[in-house]
Amino acid sequence: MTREELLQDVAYARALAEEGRQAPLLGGSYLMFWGVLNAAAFIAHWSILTGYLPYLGGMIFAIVWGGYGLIAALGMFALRARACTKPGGNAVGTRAERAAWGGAGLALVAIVAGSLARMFMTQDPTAPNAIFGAAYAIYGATLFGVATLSGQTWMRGFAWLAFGVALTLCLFANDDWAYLYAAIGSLLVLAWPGALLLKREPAAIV
Amino acid sequence: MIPVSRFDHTAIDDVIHGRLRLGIMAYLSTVSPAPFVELKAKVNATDGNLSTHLTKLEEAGYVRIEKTFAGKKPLTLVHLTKSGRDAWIDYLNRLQALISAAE
Repeated sequence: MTREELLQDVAYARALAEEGRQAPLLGGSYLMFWGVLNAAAFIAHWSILTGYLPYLGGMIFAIVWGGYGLIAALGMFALRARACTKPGGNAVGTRAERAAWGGAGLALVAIVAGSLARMFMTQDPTAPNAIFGAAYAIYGATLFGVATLSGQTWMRGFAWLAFGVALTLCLFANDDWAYLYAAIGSLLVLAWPGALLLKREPAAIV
Repeated sequence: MIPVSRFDHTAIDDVIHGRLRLGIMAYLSTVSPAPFVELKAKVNATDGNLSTHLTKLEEAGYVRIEKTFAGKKPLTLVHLTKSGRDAWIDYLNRLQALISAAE
């Protein structure tokens, strides 16, 4: 074995290891799905608040957000099945992405559950308005972490955008227009990077 | 007198050092577990060839093969074991030492 042969072997091993390390992230479809779904729900909520949709004695909120929950559950089921067919599903970056968004999801569930409980216990209908500011801060933190861990540093720009949206929403949480703003924010910080990730996704392997 | 070279190729792990097995270990070092079909595409091997080399690595305890299902489709996953990762790191260290010695 010569030194040149060894160097060729090292270069080959390095190329393969790099391929695994730089494997495209597979969360694009999830970001796109949640970005569009959140935006639709926020627009519907804003439409109720501003009288574009009938109030129905408050039942409309249950219909909108109940439908949101149902579509979210069905969508996650379908997306999970789709992700199984993609190569690189256990690459370092993809695992980091999965863990970070999994943690973010649990944090969001805690915030939503706490805010809804406060609404029912105190009869304060504005209690859920505390959700979206915190949600965007969590989106920002998760995008920032995933960007760093996966080496996809372009995602940090979207993280900063999410922090900006979070700040504004915390400031104007009880204004009607905040829901419309949150809808636009959802398209910008979730659906947009989701579309960019989807474009880079590899084809199915099975 | 010709100086004795410090380049000793016997110092490296033969179980890893086949070109294909090197590729398998390198890829698994960043993607583990990797589906068999994904690994096959990455190292550009046939089913039979990859199976043979995976058996060698499995016998050495460097990889673990898991047979499972993705929905109704059978799925073979290849895991890099802890001793496999240790062997890989040791292999890279020795390779680096060999190349340095040869300079």
